[in-house]
Amino acid sequence: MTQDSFEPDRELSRLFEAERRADESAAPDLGALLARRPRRRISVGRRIAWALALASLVTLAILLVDVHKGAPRQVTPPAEVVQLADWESPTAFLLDNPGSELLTEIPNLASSPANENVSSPEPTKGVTR
Amino acid sequence: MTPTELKDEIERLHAAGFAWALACCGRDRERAEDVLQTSYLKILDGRARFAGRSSFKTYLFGVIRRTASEERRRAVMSGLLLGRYRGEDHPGSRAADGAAPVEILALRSAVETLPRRQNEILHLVFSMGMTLQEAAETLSISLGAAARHYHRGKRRLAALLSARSGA
Repeated sequence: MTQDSFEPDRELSRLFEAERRADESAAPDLGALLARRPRRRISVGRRIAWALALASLVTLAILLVDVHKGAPRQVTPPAEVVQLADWESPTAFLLDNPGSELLTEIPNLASSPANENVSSPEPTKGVTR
Repeated sequence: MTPTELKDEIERLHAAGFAWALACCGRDRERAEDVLQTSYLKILDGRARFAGRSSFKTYLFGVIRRTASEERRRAVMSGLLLGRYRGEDHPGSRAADGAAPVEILALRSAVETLPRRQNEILHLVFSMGMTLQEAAETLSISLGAAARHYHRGKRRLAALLSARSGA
């Protein structure tokens, strides 16, 4: 390969040359560039650590919210609801008939006749007198 | 090289280095200045060492290109992590483009459409006056790959520019 084959095209060369001259004229002062404080960069490792910490915090917050939602809450019902619950029909007494307490109370088995000491009758059949 | 010699060489190539940094940073002036400062500090601190295997210009431009790549990767990573991407295009820092002649603006917009390697090699050859061998050393690629990128890029750029001038 000869050096001639590497010769850039004249037009491209002219354009690139013009661009380079424009860029070079805009170059910052070397002393100022070296003297200025380097931009503080956060390393990738530190970024990962921050991202993990943030993710942990978010997860913790979500868990706390879930736990708080799951806990039983003591809600006082509004006064209207309480009044309605206490209302009683004027004819409610008609439902109080003998034995109605069996529907509302648990029968006491201790007072059952089966537990009472009842003497059984003596057998008479086949008994010689 | 002594620190004084290094500083002298940097001073000599500073303007061209800035033009190259602009090309590596998508013409973002703010990022180009950051990249240039970081590159100089790397050289002066001894984090990047000049072994003398190539010319100082090739070495310096290589450091600038690598630093710009690191900056770009860092920006992409932070974008992925924090949901924002500090992209190539910063309209605020590109305001100076408005004062450039129309033909240079046309060249810039055409060059931006080229793949990164073609863009870089055309800048190094046409703008910085490097040979393909020097450009290949700067980009850390083989001479064959450099020649391929150069020819493809030049053909594509010429087609783009002629299409624009014909339109």
